[in-house]
Amino acid sequence: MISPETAAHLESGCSLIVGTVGPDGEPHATRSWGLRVLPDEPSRVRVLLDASDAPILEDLARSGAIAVTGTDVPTLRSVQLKGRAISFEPATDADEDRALQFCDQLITAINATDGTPRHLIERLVPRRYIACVIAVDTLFDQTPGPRAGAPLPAQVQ
Amino acid sequence: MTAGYDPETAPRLGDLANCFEGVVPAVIATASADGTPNVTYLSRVRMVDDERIAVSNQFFSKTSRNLAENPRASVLLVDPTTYDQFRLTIVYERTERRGPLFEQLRSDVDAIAALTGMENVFKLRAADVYRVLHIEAIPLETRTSPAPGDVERRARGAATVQLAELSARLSRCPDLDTLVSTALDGLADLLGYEHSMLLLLDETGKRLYTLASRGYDAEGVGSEVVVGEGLTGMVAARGAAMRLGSLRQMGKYSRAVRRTFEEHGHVGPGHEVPVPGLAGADSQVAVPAMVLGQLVGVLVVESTEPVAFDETDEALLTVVAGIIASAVEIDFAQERAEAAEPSTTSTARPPVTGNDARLVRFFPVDGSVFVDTDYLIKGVAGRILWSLLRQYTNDGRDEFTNKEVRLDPTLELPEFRDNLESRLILLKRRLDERGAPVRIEKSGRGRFRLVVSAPLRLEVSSPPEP
Repeated sequence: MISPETAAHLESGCSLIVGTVGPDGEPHATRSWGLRVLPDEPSRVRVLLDASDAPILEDLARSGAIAVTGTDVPTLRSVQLKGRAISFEPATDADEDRALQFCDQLITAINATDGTPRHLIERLVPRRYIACVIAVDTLFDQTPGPRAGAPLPAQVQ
Repeated sequence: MTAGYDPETAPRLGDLANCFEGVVPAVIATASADGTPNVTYLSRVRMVDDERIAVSNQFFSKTSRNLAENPRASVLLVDPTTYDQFRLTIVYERTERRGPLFEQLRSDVDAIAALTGMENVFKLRAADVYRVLHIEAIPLETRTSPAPGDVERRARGAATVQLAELSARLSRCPDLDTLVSTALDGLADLLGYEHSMLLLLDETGKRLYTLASRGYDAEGVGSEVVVGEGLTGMVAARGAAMRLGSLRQMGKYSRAVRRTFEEHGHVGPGHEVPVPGLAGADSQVAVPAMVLGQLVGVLVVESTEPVAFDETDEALLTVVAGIIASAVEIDFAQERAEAAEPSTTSTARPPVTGNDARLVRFFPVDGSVFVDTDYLIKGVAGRILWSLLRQYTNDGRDEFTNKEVRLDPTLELPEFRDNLESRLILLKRRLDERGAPVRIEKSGRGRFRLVVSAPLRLEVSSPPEP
């Protein structure tokens, strides 16, 4: 369901932002620090979240609804996926490696594009991660402009 | 409400002023009635008061539709000077489509659109106002602490005293040329604005031309901006100051939006609007120079640092621009008064001769003047130069009065307001900047001298056939 092109975009060092919602309908915004499309299940992704972000983890545990938008730093080309969290677990060593690589790519891109010093951006990076597997239902083009929010062509089936 | 939230110690909206400069894009999460979240970046967020923020709404987006069903939202803000991050819980309150708040956000959006020439396509539809229920400082388990002075602001501790000193220096200037240089030098020396430029409104009221600049690789004297285009042009059109602290981010956003419009055929392929300015500028303040309710020009300062300027800068520069505008008007009034007095004729001198004559070509179609193959100047200033050079080569004249230039019918200067003095300053500066074989020296009030350093050969050219 997630095309190779979209997977490549989401797995690059793009900026990942996350929206969740609690059972009472209150949304929460946060960031993700790495995403991987599961190789054997292309409609599922594994995202890395700040393990200390209690409201987000609480939302996911109770309602599971989640949206993730990945934005390419230089071009702002953006894709949003929406789905449901189906499992959590502490980040593995592989997750930690992926987060390290992701952060390096993201920080390098921001530094190169916007000139922000690396050590400032690094202040956002959490110390501990939790891995969350999401069953993806829908994908949208979220690039700024009049078409933002349109379903991706691959979704029109 | 988040566990552990203490309203006594929680950050206040007023503490987050830097977050609203747009350097780090804000994030908003909303949810539909059925509990499906949506998360996206915001193009512009502003603080309304101690309890409210306003968000620009350009498109009827999913965020808007969600808020119609569920008024609660969550916003992530980052302070660009420290990268401290805050999560705001907000609730939609109202939408404004007119009034000061709408105009403020419209100005922001117009500035973004102007960067890629989309003023007529990319427009603010509404300003959505939200009440902030609480603010959570997201703990940073940091590897490093922010170094002090990551984003340095100029020390302007005694700004009032420095402004007074600049005002005193300007009041001692004997002519407009000196005043313009003193103003830009004073802005740098006294107030720390290293990159500044002064543009004046031309005779038609449709363009601004750069009279002087400081702190740029190329001085750019004579470069033009159309009123209404780009930040400087918008300031001229509105007669109101504008301040941007995240030009790189805004440019990136503007290009992304433009690409989307182009891909879907809403606008034709375009390019960024070329404007005179600092390479890599991230912050810019432009203030109108006005007197008696009339626009005289625009004063611009720039910095490569993000969020380099605040309201204090706007205020300081507005005062300086007002002084410059008054001086331009006084100079103009004096010129008009002296134009009524009889002029004296100058003595003819033989032109500089020699074998290595420099070719000066004039294109009547736009008044442009080239020396050999190098472009020198165009428009009114170009026509003035050509008229002076003709008199120099034909009659051997090198002394002129402003009055006789003003009365020269070949220049077609407007009767009401000809900006002659500022055009002569522009011409003088441009000749100096380009190292031209001819210079202009002031020889008295309302008088100047043409100083020619090489033999000249004049030629009138026509543009090539299309």
